[in-house]
Amino acid sequence: MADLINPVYLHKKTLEQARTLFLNNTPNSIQLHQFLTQNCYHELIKKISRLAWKQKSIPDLYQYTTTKIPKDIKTILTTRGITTILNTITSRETILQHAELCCFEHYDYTLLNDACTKKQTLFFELELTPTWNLTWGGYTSYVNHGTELVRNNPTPNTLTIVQQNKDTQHFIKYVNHFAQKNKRVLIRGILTEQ
Amino acid sequence: MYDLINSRYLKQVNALKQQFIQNKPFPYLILKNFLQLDLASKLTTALIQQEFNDKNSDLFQFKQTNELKHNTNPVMRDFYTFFSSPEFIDYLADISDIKLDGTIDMAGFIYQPGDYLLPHDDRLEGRKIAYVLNLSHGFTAKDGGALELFSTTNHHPTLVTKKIPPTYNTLTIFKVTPTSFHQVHEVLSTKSRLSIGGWFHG
Repeated sequence: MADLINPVYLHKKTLEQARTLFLNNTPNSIQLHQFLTQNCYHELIKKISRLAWKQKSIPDLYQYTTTKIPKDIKTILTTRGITTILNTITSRETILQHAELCCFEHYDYTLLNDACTKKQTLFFELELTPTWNLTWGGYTSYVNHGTELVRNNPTPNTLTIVQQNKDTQHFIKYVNHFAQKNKRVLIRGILTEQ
Repeated sequence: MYDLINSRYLKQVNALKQQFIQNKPFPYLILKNFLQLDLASKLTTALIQQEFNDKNSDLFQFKQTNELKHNTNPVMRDFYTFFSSPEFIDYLADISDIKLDGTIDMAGFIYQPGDYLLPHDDRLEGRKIAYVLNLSHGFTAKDGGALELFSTTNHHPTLVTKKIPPTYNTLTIFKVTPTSFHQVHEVLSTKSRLSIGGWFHG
């Protein structure tokens, strides 16, 4: 585990502080910066740069590219160590329900829609983006009836967890031409209670 | 009305009716050189003096004025009066073969570099015809800003099949339906796209 996760997050005290922060935020949310060790992070980036991506587009819902998460990367997400960290912070017994490796570049986005989940859900985003500027769009916005509650600005090697209640939805802001060839790459998904 | 708009559009009602209903991917019309030039110029000058507010969501990013119905600028007010007049509304109802009730929405819009409006169908209770009067100069394809109309499959937009660049003094109207998916392409250059837009209700 010390090879994968930043050792800071293996300490009980750190996790307890993180749990307090998570519960004190509205909505319940936390960002864990420098989450993976530098070695693990850079290995991940190298692996991902070799993958083939496929466009996913229903224009009134979303447009971005995605690829199947390699088995060894998925294994990282479901290791006991990471599960323990997530369970401690969220005070739940969680299991990975769904994960997607996706890429957002110029013209890409997701939109709010009525089909979005209307129940409490734990969303996570693991940021694999080397560099990002907010003026390019591409950030994740959690909203409640049009009011932004939380904004996740892509920061490399950051794990963001947000508990969405039934009135909250999220979207990824349209990436504009100022981004040029820059891409936001992340693993995002849903945790459910066991 | 006869002093305000290009007279050929008043003489070509039957031809416009045919065009509207036959156009794909859904009924629309593009009316170039729509207003008398002097009015177009005065309207542009009056519009850019208005207060525009930032509008930002998942679906769009642009600047918009308040509803122009109660605007105090005499040029804006007169234009609103003409556009919402029974005479003009009857004319549009005739061309489109759509029953209109006389109420309209009207606001000014500015799309600056990076601004956009993503795909949607405009459907909200009462909206029957959407319109945009473009008042920008010099937009080419590489500047972006085009109104783009989508074909539809299984209730979702698929491909852009019609691009309408923002040409000065051009009025575009289209029928609001379950398949009237459209977007405004992001403005890609340093230009700003200025327009008046809204809906006719029925």
